[in-house]
Amino acid sequence: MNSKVVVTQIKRELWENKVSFVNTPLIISLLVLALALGMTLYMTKFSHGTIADFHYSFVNSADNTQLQTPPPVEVVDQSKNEPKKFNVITSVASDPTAFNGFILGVMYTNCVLLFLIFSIVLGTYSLRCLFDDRKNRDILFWRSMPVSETTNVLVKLTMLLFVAPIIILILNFIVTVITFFAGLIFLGFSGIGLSYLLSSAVKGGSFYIPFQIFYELIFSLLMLMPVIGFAFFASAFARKTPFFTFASPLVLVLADKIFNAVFGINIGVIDMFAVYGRAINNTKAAFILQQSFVFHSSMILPLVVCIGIGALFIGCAIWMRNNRYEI
Amino acid sequence: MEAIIDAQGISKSYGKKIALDNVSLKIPAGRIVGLIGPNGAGKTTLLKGILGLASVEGRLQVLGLNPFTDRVKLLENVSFIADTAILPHWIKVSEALDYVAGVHSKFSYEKAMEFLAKTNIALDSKVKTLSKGMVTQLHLALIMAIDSKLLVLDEPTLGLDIIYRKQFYEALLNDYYDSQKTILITTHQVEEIEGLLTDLIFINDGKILLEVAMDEIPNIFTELQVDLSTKEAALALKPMHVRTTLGGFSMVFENASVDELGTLGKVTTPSVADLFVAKMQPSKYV
Repeated sequence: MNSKVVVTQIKRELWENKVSFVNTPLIISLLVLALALGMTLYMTKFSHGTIADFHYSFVNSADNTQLQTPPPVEVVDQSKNEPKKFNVITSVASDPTAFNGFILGVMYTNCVLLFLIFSIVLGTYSLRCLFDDRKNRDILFWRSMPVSETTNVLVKLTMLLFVAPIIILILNFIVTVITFFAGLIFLGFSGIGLSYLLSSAVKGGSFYIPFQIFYELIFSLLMLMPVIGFAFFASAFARKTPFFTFASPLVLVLADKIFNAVFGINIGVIDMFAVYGRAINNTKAAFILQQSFVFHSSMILPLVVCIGIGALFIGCAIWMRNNRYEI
Repeated sequence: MEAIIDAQGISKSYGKKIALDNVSLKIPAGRIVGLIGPNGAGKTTLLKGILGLASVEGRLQVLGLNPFTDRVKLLENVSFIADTAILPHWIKVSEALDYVAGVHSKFSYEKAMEFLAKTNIALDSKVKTLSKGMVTQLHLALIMAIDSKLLVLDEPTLGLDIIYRKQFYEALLNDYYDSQKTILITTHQVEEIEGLLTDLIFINDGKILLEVAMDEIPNIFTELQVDLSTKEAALALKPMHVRTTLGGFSMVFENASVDELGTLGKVTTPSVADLFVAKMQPSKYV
């Protein structure tokens, strides 16, 4: 595969899906950053709370996979009428994890919002990416270029499996870095040592966790390959609405239930979905983005099977793109 | 000379409908070929077979390659406009240029800009904001900037005004065409390309009705203008086609003696349009 062609194809996908892949995530991250910076300013000057409210302690241990809940909000005695800035500074100064917790809180807010957006974007993208060009006849233009359908389909898969996670990684990292520097400026001017803040962020994993999330996201998407592959297949197969093709396995589930109930025959569709569900359940730490997700050798087989099934559907989609005459 | 397109007995059916029926043709390099036929004649199916967009039965080679199995390799030397105004509506003009430059090694950005400079198309415009004619202009600029060995144009000037149509055909001849390039054009506006063509192919009902070099047409076909007094004598010579004109009749003959026809009326060479009608609607006298 020619790398220049692949890069151009990725650019084409980004041009076509600029709003979904670039503009919307960027706006969300900017809003989160603006909110975080505003909040930092508010808290360091006027807030009744403390930075400790954002406590988000990171424990990278397989034994402790639960997110740390914030500690109870410190009740500030209003009668003393002390400047609130003092309380915040005190909290950060007294708790080495507080600054890191604040950065991670902002980054996770950004991350969760990006996940919500991208789950919609990637769902619709995978269902329409091999359908829209046939529907509006753009395919005649794309087919006039020396680009194979294999390249075309694999680039679209790359958008989903790697480009979207990379966009999330970049935005998460940028949010982390900007929040970190904003904190340094606000808190540094308040007398807290820079090395203390830097140590809090580095030891707490602020700069590492976006990469851990990226890794977990890639793993999750690979486990979802049967679903993604089938969505691509539905997109390449459908003549009118890919969604109906995509939802067609539900008919098989219904048929399985009816056969079971009426004739006592198990055709195995529900069992198959149950097996897949268990495989997903066994790796759920990656799906819910626990930083403590660790890849075990027991996950290799399910992962390989999921990738294999997904690849089979993708192969069918490529075959249909090459061999169906309808343009 | 090796044929650029070599088709031997190719056929294509859609259910019971036969789109191509045992078609054979050879197109050598350096020719400008007009593929003319009525709607549903099989033109587009033939073009799609040549471009590898549809599989066909029989032996079909384009630039020595099987277009269906070697489509990507073939398209490095073949460019085409398979239909008008089919550029993606979301793409910007600058993005379209960048895209073709990125995927086609024989695309000249400068040449495309030269073509675009003759239009009112702005680089930052999106295709959806362009008129149908402008989209066609952009598409033609993109395709003509590719230094390919075979250019296939399916109704290239549909939707264009007459000024740009003239400009396009001038550019096609002056800026694009050379002895190494072959151009295959389908159009309904046969009068416009008549002076451009080196070869002519008529197709109807999936069959090739005529495949002839333009300079051979005067030797094979003759048009005769007669009045009522010589009509019967002319009909006795079995014209391929007869039509009524103002104050007389016009007849088209194939392989008839020009000297003999000259004694009956005014003899000329039929235009491509007249020849097309004559071939599509043969008279009962043949």
